[in-house]
Amino acid sequence: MHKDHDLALIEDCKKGDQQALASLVRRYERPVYNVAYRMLGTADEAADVSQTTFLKAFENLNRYNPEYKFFSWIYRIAVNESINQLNRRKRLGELGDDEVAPGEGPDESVDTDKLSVQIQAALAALSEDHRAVVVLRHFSEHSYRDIAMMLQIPEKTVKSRLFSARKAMKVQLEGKGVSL
Amino acid sequence: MNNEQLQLIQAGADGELDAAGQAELDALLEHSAAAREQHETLLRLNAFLGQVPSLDPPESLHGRIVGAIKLPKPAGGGLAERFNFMPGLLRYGFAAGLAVVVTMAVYQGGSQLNGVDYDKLVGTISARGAELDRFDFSEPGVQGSVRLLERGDQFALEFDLDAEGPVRFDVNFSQSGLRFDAFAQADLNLDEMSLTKNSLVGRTAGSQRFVVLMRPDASADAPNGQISLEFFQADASLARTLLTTRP
Repeated sequence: MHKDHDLALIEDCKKGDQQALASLVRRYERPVYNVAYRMLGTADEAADVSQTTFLKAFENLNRYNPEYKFFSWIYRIAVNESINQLNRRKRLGELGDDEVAPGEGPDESVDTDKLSVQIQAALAALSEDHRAVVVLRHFSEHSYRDIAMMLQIPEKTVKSRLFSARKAMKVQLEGKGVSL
Repeated sequence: MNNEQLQLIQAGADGELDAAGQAELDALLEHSAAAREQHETLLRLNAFLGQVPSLDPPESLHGRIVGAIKLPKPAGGGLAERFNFMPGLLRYGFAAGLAVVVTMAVYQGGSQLNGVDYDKLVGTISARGAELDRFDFSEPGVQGSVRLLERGDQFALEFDLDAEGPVRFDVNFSQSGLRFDAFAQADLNLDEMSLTKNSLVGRTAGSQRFVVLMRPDASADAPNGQISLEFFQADASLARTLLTTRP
């Protein structure tokens, strides 16, 4: 995914090139936002996590290892920040245990779609680890290998988590009347 | 089915198998009804999840992110220091540097930009010329105009902004075939400014008049003559346009 171009943009960012920054953000803001949204289920939190993800990435740009893909690095930050936000949510107890607040924020029209709500509810019932592999596989369309790199786990762990997560999702979706 | 077979079925449904793995899966599916059922269930689940559309992030997100990230400054902190790394200015040497200082001084004297005689103001580094393109916008609390001027091989972007609150502007001429040459402003009160060879990003408020001077960039790759401009307020895009050097 644009590895060489990403590296060129990162080098320009290190030199203070605002246009390179805008290009890099433009390239990844949508996938990062989608990962955060599917992990969290609310538009406001997804936007906040997306912003934090990029901030952390650029704060630590000098620690980025160019041998690895930039998108792996930024997705990993996005997933970790989403999990941090889920933990904060749990601590605050404002929304209950991973409960989704449907129809919040600018994506209300999208999320009122029955299908999206069903899937988001099934995702919310998964553990964070299982949710992360499903989101990266199904909503970001990454390979087992990329997911393993992003989450820093063995590929066989990706497969086993995916298998368990899908099994749980199937039960959840069938419980909501979806026939699979 | 054992765990290995289940993993094989899953990898097949995910398109992760090589030719040998696919052949192994095909053989399993041919001989096992349970394997076929498992495989079909996974395919149905994948198809179901695949129906969910990708979401559009809020329009303000890009501005929020870019506005929050502080990149290292391209050069030293002061305006004069920032000019020092500019190849165009280096080419002109001391005389051009002096011309910029003179320009600023005259602008600081309160000249109306649109009435400025560039021939007198900036001597060798700029000239008043023909208007190639123009962009005017008016939004609640913000009004502005930008003119693209040309004379000979010199180009100028002439900004005239009037904003009640902070406004950020991004100018990108990386596709234009032009490169930054010099900058002059009427009031030295830009909150932030970041210059590179092909871009300028600044933040200001109140009335601002300034000129970005550009010259053709011989190293440009397939230039299209377009300069992109975008204005933001509170991280939301207010107005954007493309100005072109070509008729």
